[in-house]
Amino acid sequence: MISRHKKVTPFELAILLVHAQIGVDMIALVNRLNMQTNYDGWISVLLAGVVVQILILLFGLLIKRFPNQTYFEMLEIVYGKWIGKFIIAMYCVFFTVLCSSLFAKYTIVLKSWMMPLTPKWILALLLTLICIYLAVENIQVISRFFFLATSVILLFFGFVIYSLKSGNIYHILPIGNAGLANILKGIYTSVISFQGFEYFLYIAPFVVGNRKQIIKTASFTNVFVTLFYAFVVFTCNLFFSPEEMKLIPEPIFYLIKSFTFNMIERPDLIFTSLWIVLVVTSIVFLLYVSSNGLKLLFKAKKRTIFVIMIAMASYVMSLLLYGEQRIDFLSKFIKPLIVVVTAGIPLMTILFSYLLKRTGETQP
Amino acid sequence: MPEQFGQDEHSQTAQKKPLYTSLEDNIAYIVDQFNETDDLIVEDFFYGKLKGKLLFLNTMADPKKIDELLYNHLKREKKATTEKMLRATLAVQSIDDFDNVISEILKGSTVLILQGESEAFSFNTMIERERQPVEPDTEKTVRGSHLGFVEDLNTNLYLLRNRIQNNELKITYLNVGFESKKNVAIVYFDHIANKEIVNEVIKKVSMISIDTVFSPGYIEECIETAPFSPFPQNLYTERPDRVEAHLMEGRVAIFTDGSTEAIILPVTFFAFFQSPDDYNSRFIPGTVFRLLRLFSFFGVLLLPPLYIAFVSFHFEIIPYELVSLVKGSVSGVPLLPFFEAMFMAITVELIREAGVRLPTPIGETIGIVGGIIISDAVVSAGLVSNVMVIVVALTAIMSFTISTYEMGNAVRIANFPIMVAAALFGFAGIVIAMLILTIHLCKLESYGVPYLSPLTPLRFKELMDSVLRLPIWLFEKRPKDLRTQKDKRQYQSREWFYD
Repeated sequence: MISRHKKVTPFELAILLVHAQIGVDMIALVNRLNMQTNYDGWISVLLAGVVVQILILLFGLLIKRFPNQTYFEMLEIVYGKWIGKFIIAMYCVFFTVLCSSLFAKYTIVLKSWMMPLTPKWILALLLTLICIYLAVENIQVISRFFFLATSVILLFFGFVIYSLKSGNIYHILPIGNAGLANILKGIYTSVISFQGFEYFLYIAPFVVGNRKQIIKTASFTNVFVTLFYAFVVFTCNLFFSPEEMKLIPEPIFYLIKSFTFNMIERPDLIFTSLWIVLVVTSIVFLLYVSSNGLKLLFKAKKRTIFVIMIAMASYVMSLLLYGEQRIDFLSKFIKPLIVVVTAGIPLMTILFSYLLKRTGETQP
Repeated sequence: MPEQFGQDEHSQTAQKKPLYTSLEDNIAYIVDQFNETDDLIVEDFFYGKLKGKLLFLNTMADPKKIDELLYNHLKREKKATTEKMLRATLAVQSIDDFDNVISEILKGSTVLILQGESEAFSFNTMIERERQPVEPDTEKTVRGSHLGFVEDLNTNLYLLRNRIQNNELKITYLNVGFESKKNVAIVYFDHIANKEIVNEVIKKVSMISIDTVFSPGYIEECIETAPFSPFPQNLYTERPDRVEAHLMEGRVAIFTDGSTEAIILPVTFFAFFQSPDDYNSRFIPGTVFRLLRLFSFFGVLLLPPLYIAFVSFHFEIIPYELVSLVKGSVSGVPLLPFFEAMFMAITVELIREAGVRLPTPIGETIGIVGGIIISDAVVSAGLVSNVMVIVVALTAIMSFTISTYEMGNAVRIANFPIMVAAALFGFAGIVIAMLILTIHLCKLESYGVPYLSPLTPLRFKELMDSVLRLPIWLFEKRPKDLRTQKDKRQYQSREWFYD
């Protein structure tokens, strides 16, 4: 029985999902997209949003069949005890690797933007400790913190709107120049930044509200995140010419850097520091989800030890991964896996649950 | 069952010993229990056929009252039958065990034990020597009530009952302390306050098993949920009006005999930034000044760390004109910005700590010597830059702006780790330290009420009453997170407006 206090409202669910998606990847998305789509990236992002929306509606079927189960529990029911456990274990391993790649990206950005002399292990360790501190808490406390962290997203949003005034519309014209094939390829690239939208499957039983409300919330969140991403990509493309774009790995920070204000000469330093907040929220959610998986796997009562284990494992791995080339190398493996994990396996689960006629009432 | 828990477990008189039938035995036993202390007076009592002994502590009992209660009253009675006559007086209570006899004598009552009876009668003859209620020094207001609590529990409860004339106001007495029993009163509105919260408070207070409750701090420490947090989770107040306001919202107040403070719980972060003065005048100044206090909270936390971060890491962030100004004042200073800040912050703490306990004239002198002379000398000696002095002085003033003493202290203490983080990692350090602080605040809960409520979880309307202070007629409901039994608190007080 989940006690009354530990539930979240649909509004809090929306906040949680927004933070699960907008995070580390936000700053690199534009750059990655431009490799493929030149300056039509924002179309790809919008289309990716549509794809994600379809997935969300499909995942609604899972919640319909398993209203009282988290995603991992569904897996156990649908695939049986052993295969289910194996898949959960794979999920946890994947999340740990994903987590370590986030750690590594964060360290790289922070080192190159703010603290070139601070040892990487200290930067990563600080982040690890903060994430552990929050991730051991229940979903309600996490959502409380995420709500406060939303102000950072709004700040970024506000800044991007502000920078529209110095955009150059000719940078993105003519629209659709990249060609349909490239734009479609861009969907694949940008869907990866949407990873996290499927987390509502993991916390659905903890939400006060029925299936409809959950799906509605997830859809609203998706619309918001899609527009946010599209807007960021659009603005960055307005601002930087395609040639410039190839040279800058973190366009948002460069965008912010190019402005100066009366009292603040280098707003990018402030925003880079604030970006840490978004890194924390992404990692915390990953830790929360994966530690829940391990908890289920080992039939434990508390998650604390698993959170610490996963966080420390990712921390150590991130130190090994440090370096642009290694990260790029890892991303090559992670990208297709993200699609498999966020879309492939859940879709397969829907299929099997119908084929095998297994629902929430079925004993695993 | 809270009453059975811990209360009498350690006390010496766990089993109640009934009185003997023999008068001499009774007296001997009681005198022995008091270790033949010299202020225990045993006097003979004769009245008609009745014979007995009077016992009282002459340090605690008022001889005038004894005269008045016993002799004057008894003389008026014609027929002297024991109980009938004794019950006629108001302040009499019959007791049949030694435990109660002893505690009555200790309170200052006079106990009468009659010959041949295993029953005693106690008369309330306590000396009343109480301070008059005055305005509390720590919570002064410009307008509104100027009344404060005193050290006597009954007077305090009288002040409260006098303000709130409602039969639903419930007082639960508990005895805490097994060496010296202190009366603790838990006060709440029976029809408003959440029953779970009330029961939990009563349970926790009655579970306290300690020799004596020296101050309300003892109770607070024993019942608070997160004892290791730097932030206060219970609100102290010396003002009846403040207690009234909080009780009306559905909170619980704890009074301890012998202390001028009431503890109010469960409170949230924003309660520490409110002052009764906000509600004593119109809402616009109330809102502005409350925002000023909240702003000071962030000012205290961030100003010195930001200075450290600017000067030691991110000079490029401040505009050129300011750079030359700051650089000019910093250039000759041999200390690192961090040690500069630490030095000044510790100096301010020293001045405060020295000034608090000294008599006012000396305290003022200390303030002048510390504040003006030291800071001036420190700058002209070139130890600390003058911008740093400005920053630290401003920080100190801001911390005293926060309307609750406890919160001001908490913030100034939380400031030190943030300074360390800023000195080590610059801006990123500040963000990381603030993250830890924010996560900590999000984690805090007292009695199921999130500490940062109504900011997160967001209750927009309540936010308008706790961060801002919009007109009272806008707020028709009590705070949701207190889970009160009665939600509504107001029904369109400005209905005339729509006529």
